[in-house]
Amino acid sequence: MEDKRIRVLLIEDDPGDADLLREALSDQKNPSFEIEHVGTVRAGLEYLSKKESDVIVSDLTVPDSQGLETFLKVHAQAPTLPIVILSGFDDGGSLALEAVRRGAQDYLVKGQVDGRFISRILRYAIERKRVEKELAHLASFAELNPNPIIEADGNGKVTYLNPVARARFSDLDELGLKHPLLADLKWVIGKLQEGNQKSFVREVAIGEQVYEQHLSYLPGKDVIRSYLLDITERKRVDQLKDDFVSTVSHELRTPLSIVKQGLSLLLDKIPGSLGEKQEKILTIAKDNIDRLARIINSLLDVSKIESGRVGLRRERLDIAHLIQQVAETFQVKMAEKTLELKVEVPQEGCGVYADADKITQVFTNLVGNAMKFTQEGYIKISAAEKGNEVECTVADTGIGISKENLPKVFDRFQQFGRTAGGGEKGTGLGLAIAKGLVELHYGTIRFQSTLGKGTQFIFTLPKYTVENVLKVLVKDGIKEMQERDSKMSLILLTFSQGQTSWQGLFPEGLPGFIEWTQGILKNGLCRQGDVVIQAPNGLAMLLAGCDKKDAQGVRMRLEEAFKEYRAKGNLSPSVTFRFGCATYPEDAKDDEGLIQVANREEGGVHAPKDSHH
Amino acid sequence: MPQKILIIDDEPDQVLLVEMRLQADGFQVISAPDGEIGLGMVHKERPDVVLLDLLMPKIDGMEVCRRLKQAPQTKHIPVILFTASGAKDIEDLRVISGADACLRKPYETEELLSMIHTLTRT
Repeated sequence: MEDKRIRVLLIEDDPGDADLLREALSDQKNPSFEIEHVGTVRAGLEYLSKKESDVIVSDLTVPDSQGLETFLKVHAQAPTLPIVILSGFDDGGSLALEAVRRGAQDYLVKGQVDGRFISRILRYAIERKRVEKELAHLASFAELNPNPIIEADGNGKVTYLNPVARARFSDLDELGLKHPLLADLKWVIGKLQEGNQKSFVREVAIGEQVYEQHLSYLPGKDVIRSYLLDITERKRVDQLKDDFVSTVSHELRTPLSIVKQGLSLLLDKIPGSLGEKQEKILTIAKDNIDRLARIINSLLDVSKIESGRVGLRRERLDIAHLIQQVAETFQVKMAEKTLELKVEVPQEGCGVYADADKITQVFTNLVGNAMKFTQEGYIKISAAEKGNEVECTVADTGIGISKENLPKVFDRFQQFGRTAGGGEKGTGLGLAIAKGLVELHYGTIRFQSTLGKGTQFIFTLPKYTVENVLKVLVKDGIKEMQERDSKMSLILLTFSQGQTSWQGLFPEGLPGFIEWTQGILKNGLCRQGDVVIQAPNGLAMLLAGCDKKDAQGVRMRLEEAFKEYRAKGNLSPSVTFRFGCATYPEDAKDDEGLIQVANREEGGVHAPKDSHH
Repeated sequence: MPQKILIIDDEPDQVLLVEMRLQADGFQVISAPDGEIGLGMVHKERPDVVLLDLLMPKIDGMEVCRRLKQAPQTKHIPVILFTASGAKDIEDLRVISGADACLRKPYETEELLSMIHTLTRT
């Protein structure tokens, strides 16, 4: 094995001490030591400027320099080299310790003759310097990052700021948890600890700037690290783009409409008869005007979905019936292409909570897409209940999607597998719109594809159940409150008996009961836009813009009204009920949490005991 | 007696083509180039249906519709409101304006004709 050599630069004016060190290290092997001895700092620095060393051993008292100054001069000249101080007995080692604090790796006391010991000190000094350099390098990733980085604990105490963050957010320490960037850190920690989520992203507005904050929890240090991206410009451009799209589409529609009407007048031969060729030309013109209209509509749809300007009109929707209707509209085109259209839906129907127009659009886009890429075989539309959701599938026996295109399927303006020739031309926006619309319904969309065999698009919608409707409305509410930076309260009324018979509770049944409750709310503190709906075993009241205090007031009012109602003998004495109340964002930040808190929190009337008062 | 249709639209090309189409279908067609003249014509001519453009100078379609639906003499006259804007949901527009039906441009001629037939049947 080859002997490793460590090159030592020894700065020492006393030749005796130098010899002692050389002697002590002389029989060390692997590593062995090669010692270059100089008597002054100047000679040492001159040597370093010409030759390389692995470690410097330096006395602090030499003819051209005294004390700590000696170390500082050498260190300044050779900041990347490890330095071990050679300390005399006279200063008791305190100067040497000070040097270590200022960046020296270690010190040796003069007269030490144990070669193995000295060897270890020198090797460790070299290793420590290497680690120190590595750490400094790692720290530079954060220090030089042009984006702000913040670390803070759950109480809002800031533990790290990189220079950009320090310059931009000078009020972090002062505001603590009240600073928008540190708001709700406790909640975030809880969220990241419980789930399998590694990080959490939110948008935070600070003055004119908008940041995307990526939060992750570091369990070892019990802090949250935030990486911030300034997305102000992106937001502004998005807004410009949306405004632009909506203005342009408006300006294009009027002339487009006039051209279309002119062409269809001619084609319907109202001004006079047409030759065969003329009719063909006009038909082509009209088809392409329709295509242009589709592109404009799709562009606008995408822009509206992306900017969150699509309102949904959700209702109980029989997805089986809707699929039948969609299938009918495609019947003729499918027959023309000699494709079979299969429909597989539960006979008894299948209720989802969704907007009929929007879901029709999703199916139309998916089936239209499938048709474009299927030359023979069939297209199958199906729906089936799966747990809490309904799964809808559009499957085809078409050309499939090639591997390199798989990640781009839902991107805008992506058109692949495009075939030359006739047929309805696409806009490259259909699948992006379908995805956007499904996600607005809190559903998911995915696909499976085998090249040459076919493709399946599968999307889910919430099943129409009392639980799901409540969840969706709470989710919608939270989304809106986030945008408006406002509060919202949820009051849950739960009957102990369950909802087996609304007539038993209220003579006009559930609708009458909801109306009666709405009446009480109107007389109370609440405003328009509040929602009263059926909840599992009772009613749910969603009060937008209503804080905790107001909500408690409303709850008390409701309790009183119910007591009165009972006192009049309208409620069977065996029926008991209770009210629970939860407010966004104090009590919970998501639908499940809010419903859980409102369900848990007890309060108010525990009939029948107090029903006689 | 043929049924009388009033078109209120500031776009003469548009008016001309719709007029040709409706006349071919046997309707009597009159037109007004803006909301103000249009309102006057509704009161004078008592049309069976009003076709109304949303975006017009002076009094826009929304306001014309509101006034027609508020006045006891005109509120029974069916109004079809046209919009070139894609921003607003068409059903929302119908509810807000109080119109009997709304159409987004460009539309299919058959759609307009069947709407007119449905609204004038009673």
